[in-house]
Amino acid sequence: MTDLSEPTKELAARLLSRVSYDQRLLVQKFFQLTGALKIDIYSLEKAIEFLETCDRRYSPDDLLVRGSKVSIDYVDLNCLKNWIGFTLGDTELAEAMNTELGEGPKSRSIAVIGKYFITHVGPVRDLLKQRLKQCKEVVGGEARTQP
Amino acid sequence: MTSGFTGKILRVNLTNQTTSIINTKKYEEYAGGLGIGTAIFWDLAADKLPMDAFDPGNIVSIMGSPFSGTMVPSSGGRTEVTGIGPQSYPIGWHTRSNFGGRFSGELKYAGWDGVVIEGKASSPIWINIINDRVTFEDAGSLWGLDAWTTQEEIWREAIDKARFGERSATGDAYAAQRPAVLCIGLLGEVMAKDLGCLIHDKGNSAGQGGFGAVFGSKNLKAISVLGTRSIEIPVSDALLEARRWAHSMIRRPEDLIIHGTTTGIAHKSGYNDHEVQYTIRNGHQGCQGCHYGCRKSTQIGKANKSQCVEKSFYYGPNVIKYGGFNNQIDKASDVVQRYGANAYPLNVGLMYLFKLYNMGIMGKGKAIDTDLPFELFGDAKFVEILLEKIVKGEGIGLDLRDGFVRAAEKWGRKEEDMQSGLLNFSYWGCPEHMYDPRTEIYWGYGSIIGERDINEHDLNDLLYWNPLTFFATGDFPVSAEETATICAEKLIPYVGDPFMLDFSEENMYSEHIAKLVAWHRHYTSFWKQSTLFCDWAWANIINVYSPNNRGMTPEGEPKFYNAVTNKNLSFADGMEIGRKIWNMRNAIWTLQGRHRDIVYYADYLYSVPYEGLYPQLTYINGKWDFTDVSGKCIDRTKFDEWKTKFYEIEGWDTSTGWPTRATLEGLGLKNVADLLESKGKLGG
Repeated sequence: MTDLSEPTKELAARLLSRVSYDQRLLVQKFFQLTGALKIDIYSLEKAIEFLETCDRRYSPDDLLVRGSKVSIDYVDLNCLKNWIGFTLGDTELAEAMNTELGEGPKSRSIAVIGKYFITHVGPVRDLLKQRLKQCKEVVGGEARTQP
Repeated sequence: MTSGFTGKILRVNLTNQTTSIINTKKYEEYAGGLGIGTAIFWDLAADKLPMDAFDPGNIVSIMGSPFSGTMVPSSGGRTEVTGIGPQSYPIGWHTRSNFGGRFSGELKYAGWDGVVIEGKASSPIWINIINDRVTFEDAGSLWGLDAWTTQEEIWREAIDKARFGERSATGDAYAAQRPAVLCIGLLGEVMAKDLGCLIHDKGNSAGQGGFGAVFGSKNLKAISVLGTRSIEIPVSDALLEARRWAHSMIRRPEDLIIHGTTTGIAHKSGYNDHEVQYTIRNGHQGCQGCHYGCRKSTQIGKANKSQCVEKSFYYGPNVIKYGGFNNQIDKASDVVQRYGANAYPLNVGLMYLFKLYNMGIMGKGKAIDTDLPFELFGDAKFVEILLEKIVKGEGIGLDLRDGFVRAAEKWGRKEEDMQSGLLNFSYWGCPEHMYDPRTEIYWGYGSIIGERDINEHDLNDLLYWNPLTFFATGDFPVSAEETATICAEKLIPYVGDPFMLDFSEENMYSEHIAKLVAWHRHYTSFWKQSTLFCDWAWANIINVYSPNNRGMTPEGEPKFYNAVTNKNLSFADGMEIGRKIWNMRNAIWTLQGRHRDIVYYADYLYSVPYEGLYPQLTYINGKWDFTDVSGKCIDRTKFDEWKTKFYEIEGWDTSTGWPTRATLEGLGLKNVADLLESKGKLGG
């Protein structure tokens, strides 16, 4: 995983703040019976919370027998990268994500998209967590993320 | 009783508080539920159409089926409600809703195949049915009570003050069980069009349509029924054999012990238990006769026996506030059950309100002024405060009594927000089910060609959930090609056309898809909503626990039906009866003002591409695959052309969408054609 340089106080504060409605990030939670729930994410910290749920693994029985008890959580990792870079303005983190992500899936096949997602979601989440930790250290007790 | 019917349907006139009997024999071919309800509505009210949902002349049927009260898997406890509902926009269509539990079984034990309600009481009443004895009781003391308290009060009143569990004299027999009560909460009383629903026991509700509001308009607080008779199964050996057949195909002992039984993809047990967050306590409860026991109890004792949307409607707000799920979801679930609230409009509508708040449009001192505490959004308290405002008619609560779309209209936001998709009520003012019409196209087509969100998961499980499991397991339970192959074998009468399952953009306006939608409308009209097989179990097309992944459809449905009725119905026969019911429904909508020119989706579906991921089955470049089909809109012109293809398949007039005499008479519905013609509404 790429070691990120320490963010400036200004960047850290920005990354810990809440973006506006127009700048929100779309993520999805898929349920067996209620469908594809779209959720708006307004902060880096909430994005990381969401990513934590994205790489849960289940057995086929969990999904077919008890499938309705779980959700499949998904975010387009390249959209997330662009949100980090363009909306939150953290170009270094976005570049590190870009290195981690490599080329995106070249097909719309669910098998291809799924393999790509499963492979990359963990490392991307860890990068974001590293950055969040840095931000909190830089800002100290001065700022708290707003939901 | 023979052939699964008691032979009697109770007809209740609330205006003069009288009862009469409708002979079931006349309607037996429709089996029950939607079919009988629609046919009775036609006979009693079609010549008076159009009428408003709150017109005392509105006929509401609450019907069981031959399966009611029996041990037919996933069927014995279902009850279907039909009548004109106030929810849809701009016209309150004749519609349907369905709930589980034990109401229709108890009706059967009391000697009734269903109840037909007409008129309007002059003051609040409830109906007390104990076997043949039907009385009208004063509901003055119940009016203002929530749905659970209402039932508790009626339980105390209905069986001559016996304590629960005691044998109580009921006239000609004794009973030790609680009566089955169908009632409204506070939202029904104030006639909330989107939200007023019917509640039965703790967690069963007929949500869609707004039938709770119709009960409220009729001053009908509840119907209680207690029966002490038994059900004769004409071919009981065949029923037991059918159960064994199903059991051997679907049952895995460990599932039965831990989670209830399952049949794989098209069956599931247990739902939305948030097990990631906290443990579920055992104590499963199923609808009457059902082998699943899909309703669970939670550790905190909230949302017990609630299921599906009423248990999951608050996921979005909860995740927004807390990042993951917590027990506020379950607390919110109990709130909607007590108020008698239809959870699905609330599910989508709450997110709409929150977006308006985040945009700075709604809130204290904002353009839409409200003191709703949005800082509590994600907590159950927020739901309770909102519903209380609707009940009391306070502030925006008064607007929301008429539903979210009508409220947006009052706020001057409907056009803009339905254009942008902020207000994602996709068809007839009903909320998007998150199986988006731009992507899961048959779901959208079925809803807009019909009158409500179809809420039918049979195909959906194969086409949406099956591929999604890849994200969590790295594999597909059933491959894309096999899915197409099996479906093509089983979709009688349209067998041999796998392209009915191709949801690529190139195929989405094709005759193949029109055939699939016709199959689905006919199948569900009879096999699901009239015989009352549960949506969560049937159709069982693919089943990973059965040989070669082939599910019980189309063998299973007639196997059980014939065992209970002693008839000799084939699956195809049932499909044809489904087509007949579907045509009768279209005739009713025609008399209500339906014309092909008003059959269109909310505007955003034509202009805003679906954002995010959405898997479906596709056939692209000579290969079946599960593919992401997001990023597209519905093409307005092509959709209009698709309607023509669909009307042609149905034998309807392509310029109006109205039924034709030839089609109706071919189905034995000459009387329907005659009335349409007399009203100038018969298709040419």
